[in-house]
Amino acid sequence: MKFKYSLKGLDCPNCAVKLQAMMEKIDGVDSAKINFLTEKITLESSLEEEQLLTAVRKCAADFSGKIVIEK
Amino acid sequence: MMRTFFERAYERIRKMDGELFRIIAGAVVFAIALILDLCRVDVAAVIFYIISFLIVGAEVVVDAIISVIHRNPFDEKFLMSTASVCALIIGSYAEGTAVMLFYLVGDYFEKKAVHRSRLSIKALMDICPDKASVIRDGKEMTVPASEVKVGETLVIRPGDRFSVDCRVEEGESDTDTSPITGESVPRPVAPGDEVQSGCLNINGMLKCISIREQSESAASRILSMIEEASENKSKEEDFITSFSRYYTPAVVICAVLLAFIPPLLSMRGWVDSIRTALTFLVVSCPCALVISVPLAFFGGIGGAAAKGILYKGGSSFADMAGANIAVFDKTGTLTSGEFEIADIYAEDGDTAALLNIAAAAETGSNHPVALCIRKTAEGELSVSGLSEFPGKGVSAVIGTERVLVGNRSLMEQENVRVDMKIPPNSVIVARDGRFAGYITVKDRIKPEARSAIAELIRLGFKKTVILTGDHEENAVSVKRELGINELHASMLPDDKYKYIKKLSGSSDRVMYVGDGINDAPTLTAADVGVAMGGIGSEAAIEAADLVITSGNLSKLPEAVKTARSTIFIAKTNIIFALTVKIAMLILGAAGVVGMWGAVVADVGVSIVAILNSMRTLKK
Repeated sequence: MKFKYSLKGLDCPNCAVKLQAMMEKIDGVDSAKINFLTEKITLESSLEEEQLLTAVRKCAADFSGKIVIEK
Repeated sequence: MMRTFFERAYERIRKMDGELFRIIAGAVVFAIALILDLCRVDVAAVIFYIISFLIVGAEVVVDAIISVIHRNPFDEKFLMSTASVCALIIGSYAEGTAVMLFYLVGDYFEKKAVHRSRLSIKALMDICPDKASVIRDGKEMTVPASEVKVGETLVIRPGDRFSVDCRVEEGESDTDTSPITGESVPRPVAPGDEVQSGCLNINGMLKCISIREQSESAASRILSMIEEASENKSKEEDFITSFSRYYTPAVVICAVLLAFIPPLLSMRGWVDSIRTALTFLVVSCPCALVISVPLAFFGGIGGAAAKGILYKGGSSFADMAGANIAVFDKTGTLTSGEFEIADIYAEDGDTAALLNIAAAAETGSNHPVALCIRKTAEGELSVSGLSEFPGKGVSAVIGTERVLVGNRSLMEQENVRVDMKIPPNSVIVARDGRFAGYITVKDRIKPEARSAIAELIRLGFKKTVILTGDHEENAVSVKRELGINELHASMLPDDKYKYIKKLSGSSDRVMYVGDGINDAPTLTAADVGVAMGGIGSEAAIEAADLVITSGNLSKLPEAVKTARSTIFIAKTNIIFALTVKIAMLILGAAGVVGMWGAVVADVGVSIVAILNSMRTLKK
């Protein structure tokens, strides 16, 4: 399934690339694509939506405390 | 007096965002420290340096520590913090503080630029109203636009935007189509006309029938295209991403080696070595590149979209910028797809009467040629006994005469002798079984086509070609009139595809311009496919590299120019920033440039690169 959320609070596109790589390592996430300029993230995942959101939010919090992911 | 001054100053500061405030405060304290330093009041100078450092750098250092906890050692804040704190420790107070101060200036600039780009795109994307007025059970009500079904009646008042694609049912008005097409001239609409969502109703009250749901409507398609475009990375962006992946760790490792190896071999003192190493750390961030290159493409995508040119992504820019052969489909691309009368021949010399008779006989037909004849004819005749022969023509009784209008096979079927050579694209008219004349129609060339083709040649296109399914005789006048080099007529869609496939296999870069409706495979086969006005068609968007929503040919050279300038800006930024960085690394290692030089050069190059990228937004 494909999910698309808003992702705010990233400092630079370089960080976007790094966070993307971290998210792709989550079990059940097939791909993560962060669009730094439109502040959107597109995820492909086999997880349930709630499960996925919890996982990516945790990952983002590990990366930096300022990132907000919303539906 | 004094109070109001302070109040105003306070008001100003309150409105400033924290980062700018910190930069200004830090810079003021830093200036004081520099003056004290020059006056050799050393202790006071050091205190002021440290205050300045704390003002600008405290938050950065805290963030850096957090990022280390999260095992993210090559974070730019961490690198900058290390460089400046180490500089303070070895006693280079001015340098250490300057690194932090300049870093923050660069960072501030970067954020402003990103913010501005986002705003400009948001303005562009703010074209789709989320509410619509519909008539349900005879009553007008406001509903979310996403709930409007196909076939519902909408009320659109002056000043309202169309929330879904509609057909006008009642009323007349002017519409502003610029959000979709980039065309600034208002378009008048009347019952029967289709209007795309995102357009603005200027002056008349309209009742419309929705023909597409919101998610399928023009505005939504455009929005998702713009959004996806910024995800579709160009070669330049990919280069930067993979470059930065190796650049930072490599420079940091060099810095560590430079700091430790020479002193351990007793070649240099510790302080000098560390100073060189810190210079390396200062230029270790690829920030200028990483931000300015995507910004350039983002600006290019946004700037083009504002003109009604929708690029599908960064990579399409390079393809468009490099194209040197332009291949056009004829009907609907170079010509408007509407017919006009080219010639009328009447046996008795009365061409107006022949046209009137033909128009009357064609009353019931919706064939494009029939529409053109009816539109041009001036008189109205009463007609009866209409009948149609599919693929051949029509017959009717006008007054006492039996009239036939159609092609040669209709005339043969009805035993009408035609001794003349009839030009292609003509309809033959017979009155009471005798040949009376013919009407020749032609496809109307778009008015801007000639200058657009000339402009493409001026931009360096070395060849222009028409591919058409039409007969050679019909297309040759288009070729001549527009000054096109080559013409291939009577081509089936598959022939067009093969032709393009062959051409794009050569060293030339082929741009194919078509309507995107029946030539989708050809659009895909070309190095760069341009769909003219194909925003309504999923297939066209899928197949093309860019879509010109208005179908206006004069946007084509503009699209080429936008692509070239965007690519140029991205490339100059890469070359410029890389050159400066590498020069700083070499000069830093050689001891010619210290931290001061490195930080000024690094932030300078960021700012210049960002400003350079922002130029794409303005065009």
